[in-house]
Amino acid sequence: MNQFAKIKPNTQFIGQNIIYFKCIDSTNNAALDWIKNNSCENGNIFITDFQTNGRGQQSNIWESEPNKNLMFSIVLNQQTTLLNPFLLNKITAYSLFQSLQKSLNNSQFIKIKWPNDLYFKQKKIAGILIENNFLGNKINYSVIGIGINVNQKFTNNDNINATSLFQICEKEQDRIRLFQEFIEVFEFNLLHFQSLEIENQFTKSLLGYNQTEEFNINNEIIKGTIVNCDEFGRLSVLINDQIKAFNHGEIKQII
Amino acid sequence: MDIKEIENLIRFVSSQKNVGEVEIEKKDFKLVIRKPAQNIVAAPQYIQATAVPAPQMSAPAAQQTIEAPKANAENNAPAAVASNLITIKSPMIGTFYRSSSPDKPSFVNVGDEVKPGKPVCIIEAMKLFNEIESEVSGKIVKLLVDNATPVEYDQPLFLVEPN
Repeated sequence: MNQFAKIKPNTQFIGQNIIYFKCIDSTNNAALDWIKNNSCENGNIFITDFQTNGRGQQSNIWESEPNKNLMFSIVLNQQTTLLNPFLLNKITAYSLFQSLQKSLNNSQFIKIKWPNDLYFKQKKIAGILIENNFLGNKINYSVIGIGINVNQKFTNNDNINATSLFQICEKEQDRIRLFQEFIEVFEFNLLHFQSLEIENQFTKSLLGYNQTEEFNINNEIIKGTIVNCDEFGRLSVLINDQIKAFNHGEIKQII
Repeated sequence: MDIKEIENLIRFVSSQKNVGEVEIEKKDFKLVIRKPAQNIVAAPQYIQATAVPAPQMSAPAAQQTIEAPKANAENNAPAAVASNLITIKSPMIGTFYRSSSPDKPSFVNVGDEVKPGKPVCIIEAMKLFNEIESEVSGKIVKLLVDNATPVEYDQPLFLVEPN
């Protein structure tokens, strides 16, 4: 049954139209197909209870039990907003951070692992996959894919570095409420990112922010401190009294 | 005239939009600095300095090509920009991919027709996937970047012959 149909989010455009699939390969693909064949309606959300081929980076599969988790994609028409993709990534990750933190009674253990994974202690609890479309050099639309492990049970045999809200709280969580809370906070942050200083908040919520820890840089273990994430999404790390900026793939945080 | 003076002269000529050619002739020495016609307006400003020395002048002065200060390596490839070809450029720093995943065919190959809205490549940056669509219609005549290599903001990726 589509439980998402009853949601009436208190938003201007995000989630005013929710397209539900009982089962689909990936909500990002569904959103991208929809846009190519129809139109790009701002704030449309594509959601499913079971994703057969959820995509992650480098074709990592997002493992998910049916009806347990949240998997959805938000469509943003960017023809008027023209948000910098790196800023959009920060707004999304920070909104997810806030929603998860709220679900966990303001737990200090929720962190954003640069550039856009959500971690509880040393385990992944949520992930983001953003696909932007450019017409020439101008951003056209963005599809923001989000996966949150809500009520999935992991056993030790699963041998994956992941956790869920259920696993942490040891009781079933209301995923419909979490979904609604997320889309409301996401729209609010999207509309007020400047006054809310989201970029700054994002940086402060990074796993390892302002702490000396180890990094793998070119297969060398080096001590450093995360001090910023710049406008191009690069991680600025203080190493031997010098700040260096790294692209994704150039540095690996050892956790 | 020594090499410094020649360099200064080249710099002067390259900085003047409306000067295409300068010719200096002394009793045993003639110097012509000529900008290729398209370079008067086009971005890659390579200035050809052709010194025509008298026989007694030393060799180094002969047939030298000096890079004008504005030129850089990045502008090397699209030398044909000044013709009717259109360049598709990268909207961001990232990694250039010719297909949506390694097992999928390339979006476009040399000789393919493109039209506005036709995807031509993916630029991946910070785990964000950016699909780049052509704004123009025409034929792909040149690929300027190899698959899975880093690209800079505004770096030319494809040359398109418009139709």
